[in-house]
Amino acid sequence: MLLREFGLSLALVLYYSMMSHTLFKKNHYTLSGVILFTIGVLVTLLSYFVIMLTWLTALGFCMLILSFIMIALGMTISQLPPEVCSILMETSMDNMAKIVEELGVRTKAIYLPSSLAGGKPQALIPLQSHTTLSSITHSLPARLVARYGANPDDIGLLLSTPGTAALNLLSQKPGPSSSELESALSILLVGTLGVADKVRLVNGQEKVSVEILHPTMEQRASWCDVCLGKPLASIVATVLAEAWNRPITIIQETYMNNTCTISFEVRR
Amino acid sequence: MKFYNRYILTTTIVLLLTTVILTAAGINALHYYVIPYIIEAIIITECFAHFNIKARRSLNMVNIVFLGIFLLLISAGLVKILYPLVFR
Repeated sequence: MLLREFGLSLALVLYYSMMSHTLFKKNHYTLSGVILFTIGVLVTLLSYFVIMLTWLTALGFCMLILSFIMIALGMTISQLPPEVCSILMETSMDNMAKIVEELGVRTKAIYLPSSLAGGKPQALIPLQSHTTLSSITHSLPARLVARYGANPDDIGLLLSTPGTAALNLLSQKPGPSSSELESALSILLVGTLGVADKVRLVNGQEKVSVEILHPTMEQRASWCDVCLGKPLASIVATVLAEAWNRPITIIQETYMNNTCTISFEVRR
Repeated sequence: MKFYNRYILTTTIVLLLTTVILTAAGINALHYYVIPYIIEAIIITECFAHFNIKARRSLNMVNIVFLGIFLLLISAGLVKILYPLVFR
């Protein structure tokens, strides 16, 4: 009797898994939820009133609970296919790389908070390599080519980065403490964008490291990477700059054992 | 999407394991199955803390519905126990 029940449970688990696998691939949570709901109602009613098996009725309830969860998730997750997002991102990164390559700039970008970059967090790529940002006391104009200091050479490119758009996905500005930052980065990279499994912040005095476990974002090498860093690093740098309200520079990015470690320098 | 899949798969596995364990224990009352399901679903949702804001809001709504069903079942159980004591 118990063996038969176990066999039936196993068959149902396999059925769930197969159905989930097929439907998850297409990101059809709602469809999956509706199918589970229909089967759940049928199983619950049949097993309660006709077959009169308690455990099967309970499995029907399981299906109903899962269907509610899936429908709730399906209503909130964007249905835009990842391929479309990839096309849009590649196009914008390609255009950005062309501008940077054409100007022959290889200076590291300085990620500025919204208070210093015309209302939204952006990256400043100085055209001169020996730059100091001590002179920035007011917000830079929201232009592609921006003057950031009193010297004639103090000119840079003020660019929107993936982090600029990603920051809008957070409901509120991230707080400056380590736990608040780690939470904001986890919500963004793990919960919202789904490009990592875990985010850890190692806080130092002037240098900060962020460890991203199992990053899944495809990262093609481009000219932009030298200046702006890879998209993941760019997103983290923007969040840090906005949280601390200070300029941030990416020092190093290393990928080892499925972990991406990014080091940042906090500028005065 | 990986995070949401992991959440749904965790919930599925936990609920099904509960069914197997309770069935093996010979439990034959439906509310003994439903109450653990609801508690587990709520706990797992709270454990997966990094949902985006919209997902968190709609899952909270689902949890409120689950909590309502849970309270209903508990109330029904209480009435069943107290009724004979009060009106005997």
